[in-house]
Amino acid sequence: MFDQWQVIRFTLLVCLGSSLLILPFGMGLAWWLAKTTVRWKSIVETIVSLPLVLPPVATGLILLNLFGRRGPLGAAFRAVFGADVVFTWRAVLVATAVMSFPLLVRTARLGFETVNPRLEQIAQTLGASFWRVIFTVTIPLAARGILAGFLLSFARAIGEFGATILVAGNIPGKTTTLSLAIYSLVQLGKDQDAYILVLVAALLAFGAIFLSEALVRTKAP
Amino acid sequence: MRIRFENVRLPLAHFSLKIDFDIEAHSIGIHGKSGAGKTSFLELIAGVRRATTGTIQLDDRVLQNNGAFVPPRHRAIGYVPQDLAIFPHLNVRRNISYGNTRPDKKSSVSRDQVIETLELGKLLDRRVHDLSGGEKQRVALARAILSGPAVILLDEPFAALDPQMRETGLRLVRTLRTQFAIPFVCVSHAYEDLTSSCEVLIEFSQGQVVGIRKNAGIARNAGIAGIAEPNFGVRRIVESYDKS
Repeated sequence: MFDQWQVIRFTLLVCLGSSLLILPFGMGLAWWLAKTTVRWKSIVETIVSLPLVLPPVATGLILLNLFGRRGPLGAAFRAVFGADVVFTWRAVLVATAVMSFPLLVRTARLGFETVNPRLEQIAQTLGASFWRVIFTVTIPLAARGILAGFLLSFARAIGEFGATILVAGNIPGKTTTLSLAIYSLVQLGKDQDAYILVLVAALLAFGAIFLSEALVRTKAP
Repeated sequence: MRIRFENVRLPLAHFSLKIDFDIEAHSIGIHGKSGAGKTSFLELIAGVRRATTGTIQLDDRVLQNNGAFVPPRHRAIGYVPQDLAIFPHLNVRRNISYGNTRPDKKSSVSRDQVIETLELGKLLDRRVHDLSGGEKQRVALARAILSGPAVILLDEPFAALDPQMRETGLRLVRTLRTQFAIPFVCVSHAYEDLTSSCEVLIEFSQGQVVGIRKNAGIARNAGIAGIAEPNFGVRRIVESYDKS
């Protein structure tokens, strides 16, 4: 019932897409959290981290209400693009993006915190604009943390289950991801097939986490 | 260069910086014990720190005045901090060229001349971690000079050097005047490091200026006419500085 290659391809593509989608926003927020001294920063930090601890199904339910046909975001999306979000690949993208966002922000933030503000100040005294400082000093020096965060968010996206099944369903060939396929195969008693996908998932997760750990641990240049 | 601080106040950890003076000289040396507020003084000029009140003026430009604050990137002031702050991800060539493209240069020195004078030719493609302390210092100085600054600020340029390198460091600071004609302010806890290169010497203690004096030998060469006295209020120290 499952074309395993299709499932793997689809999962990789959507997860890569969602990690890339959240990258600019996650970097912006991580930078802001690393730099700002405002008092209500901890409230923002808490909200950002909520999907880490909230039951994924709960997050999925909230997303279902927001992105459903009558939900505010779903209706807006339909008005602009003439297409639905829920129960399509777009819902998988949204669910994995929201669920992996905290990991990206938390890890990238550590990267930004390692950047010596002195270097940014000196770049300014050398005539660099805000954006030039960001692109030539801050981001290159925080690159390891950012890349580690990207890899972790990608790994988290691959493992996403609870939120995805609620907003995207489990429609073979359309929204079935690696995690959803494993669940379905086990339900059908096809444990052998499930194990092949488990192996693929384990390899992907191992690779992503191993690389991100190596990036964070090795001393930056 | 003319530097004017009027009623400048900045609270620091143990005391407040209170500075009031008006000096015109090509080279100014700041000395005083560590923790006297010398670095904060440089940071106020560079614009990486903002005074709570007061007016800071460099030549005819007001850098900070109650409401107004010129951001560091528009000041054209080369700052060489004590930790040098060399960009660790760029090689020597890209470090020294970082500020070279700014459009609002206040001084113009050829890149080749800087590389030659600071003996950087062989280092251009080196990564910066492999450099010695003295080499790093030359890179930081070259980077500041090439950004075309109106003035260069040097924070303890000799502190990290061994006695032998110290002589080279002193020589390099002198080249700012002799080769590049860029005015500078140099901070050092050691008074004797400043006497060979600075026209006016200012002593700091507890965040305040406790003495200003003209360095007779050098100032004569530079053609300074005014008389310096220790001062504690706004006073023009050097009155008719001959810029030639």
